[in-house]
Amino acid sequence: MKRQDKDFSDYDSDIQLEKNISRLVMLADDSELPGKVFTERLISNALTELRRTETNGRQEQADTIITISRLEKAVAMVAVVCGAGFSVLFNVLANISSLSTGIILIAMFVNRLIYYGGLIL
Amino acid sequence: MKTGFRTRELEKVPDKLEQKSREKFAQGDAEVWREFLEREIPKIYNLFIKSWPNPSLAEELVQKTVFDAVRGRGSYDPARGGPEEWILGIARNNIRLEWRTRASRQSINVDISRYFETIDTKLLPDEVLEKEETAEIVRSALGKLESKEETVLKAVYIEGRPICDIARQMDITEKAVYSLLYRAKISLRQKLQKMIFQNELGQGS
Repeated sequence: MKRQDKDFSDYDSDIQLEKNISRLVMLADDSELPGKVFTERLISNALTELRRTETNGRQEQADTIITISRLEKAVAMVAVVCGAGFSVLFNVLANISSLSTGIILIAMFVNRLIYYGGLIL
Repeated sequence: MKTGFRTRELEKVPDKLEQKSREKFAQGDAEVWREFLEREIPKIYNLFIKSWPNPSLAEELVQKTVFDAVRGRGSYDPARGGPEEWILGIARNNIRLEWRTRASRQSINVDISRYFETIDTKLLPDEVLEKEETAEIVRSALGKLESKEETVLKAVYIEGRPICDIARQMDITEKAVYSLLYRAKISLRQKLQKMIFQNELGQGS
């Protein structure tokens, strides 16, 4: 037995020989049709794959629905937080607005005092 | 005998998928697919074997085509035609890919004897298997084996029968079948190497 690679194990050698013998023996078959066992096995594997891809497809669809509902929840939460934030902000702004009116009135009052004070002096 | 069975099997199946079945096919209905594959696999195999006289490669390409079709069935549009034309398109595409792969490979030496020297360490190139000379030598070498050895090799590699089935038919244990198969492989390798060497000598003289 000729060996090109010294590290080539007996196990590897058996596998390679098996593959080559199998491919060579098949050459002795003159038929232009595939073997019955090959066809049956292939159909069975293809149908298994068909069911598997179908299940995966459904799972992906379900994952998408779950992702969308999670997204909706997140948007709702952001909307609630933003709503609360805006209401607080508007309240503060309203307070500032009433405060500014008071400040303006006080400023006008002080201004008047200064004016009258100036006249008296 | 095998061909007769196959012919009968093919006759059972209707020639084309009916229009309403196309919808079911696109939806991945298992029964419609089974019927479709039973009818189309021999046609696809025939297409490959006519391109390259190499049964192992033909089986490999049929398998690839079928799985490409199953995984890519979403691309099938019933409005554009029958699934028969669609799967033949996939098969033709795989033929083009195979030609492209071969074009990028190193060309094969005409002398096949050096490939048989390394039969248990290197995979024989497809181009060597496709030579008429190789097929003739294999047929001749198989004919020179003991009858039991030839039977077991053909039952395993051509008919693809399970070992338990062969053991029952030959009225021996499964262990004995494995042992016989091993001896048959070694014997065939020796016969092939001897015949190819003689063939080479004959051509040289």
